[in-house]
Amino acid sequence: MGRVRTAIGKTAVAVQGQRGEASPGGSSGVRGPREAAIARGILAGEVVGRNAEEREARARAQDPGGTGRMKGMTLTLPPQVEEAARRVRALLEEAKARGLILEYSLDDFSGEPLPGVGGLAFYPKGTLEETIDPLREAFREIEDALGVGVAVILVPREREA
Amino acid sequence: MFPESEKRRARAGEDLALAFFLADRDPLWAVVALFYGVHHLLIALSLERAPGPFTPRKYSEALSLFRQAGLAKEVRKAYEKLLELSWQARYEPLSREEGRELWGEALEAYETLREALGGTGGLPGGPEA
Repeated sequence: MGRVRTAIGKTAVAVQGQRGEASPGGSSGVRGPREAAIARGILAGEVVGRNAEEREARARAQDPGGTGRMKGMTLTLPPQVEEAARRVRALLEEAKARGLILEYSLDDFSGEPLPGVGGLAFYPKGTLEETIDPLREAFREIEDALGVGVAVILVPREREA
Repeated sequence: MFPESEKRRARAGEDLALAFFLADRDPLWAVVALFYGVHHLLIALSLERAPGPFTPRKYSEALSLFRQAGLAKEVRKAYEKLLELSWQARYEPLSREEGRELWGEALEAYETLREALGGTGGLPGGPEA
């Protein structure tokens, strides 16, 4: 899994697929041999080096009309994604402080044209839906305010003894 | 006119039909099929409203697309709820009985979504169908 540090101080997943949640048709986030090769480069720590730049230039040359997602591989996240991530994290931290959330991770960031923030959060089993629903509502408000998709999967879990 | 959206609608219809077929037989997989039926349908609706060269590869991108296409907040909330339930159905060691409860919750979210769409979008099936 390729990761780099972002300005929001979290590790961004350059090549998605960590959460194991794949949509039909496969969605590891690595869309072909070319991207897989780049992913290997990132894994090898080449993401900030000249080697990585050369790889990307070669990939662009091979796919000049490419999807534009190659730019995303360099993880220049738009400011609204950074802001959305900051707000989502603040919400989750506040919920965690209240005991509503046990633990969470935000590890999925996308840039244009479909900017998004994704993650996974666990809440105590038995929590009433009315208690957890405002979080979902807040995520949708962030979407509307910043134009960024927010997909934080909320999962009930037993409290550890 | 919208070949991708047509393919997505067809896939949605198959997945939703499968979900209701599985409901009594294997409620956990029924939840998964229901989510993916909705996933494909909402992408189809979004592409028809706001056609673009990109299709989402992640759930956050899907939600971004739905918002760009102007899908109502209630629709997006129901989608996220179904996403959560399908995640549980796949990754949690749930019993058959718990699967039935999950299916009940998924049906509620599905009905909310149908209502929020106002009967548009050609949502197939439904428990009464």
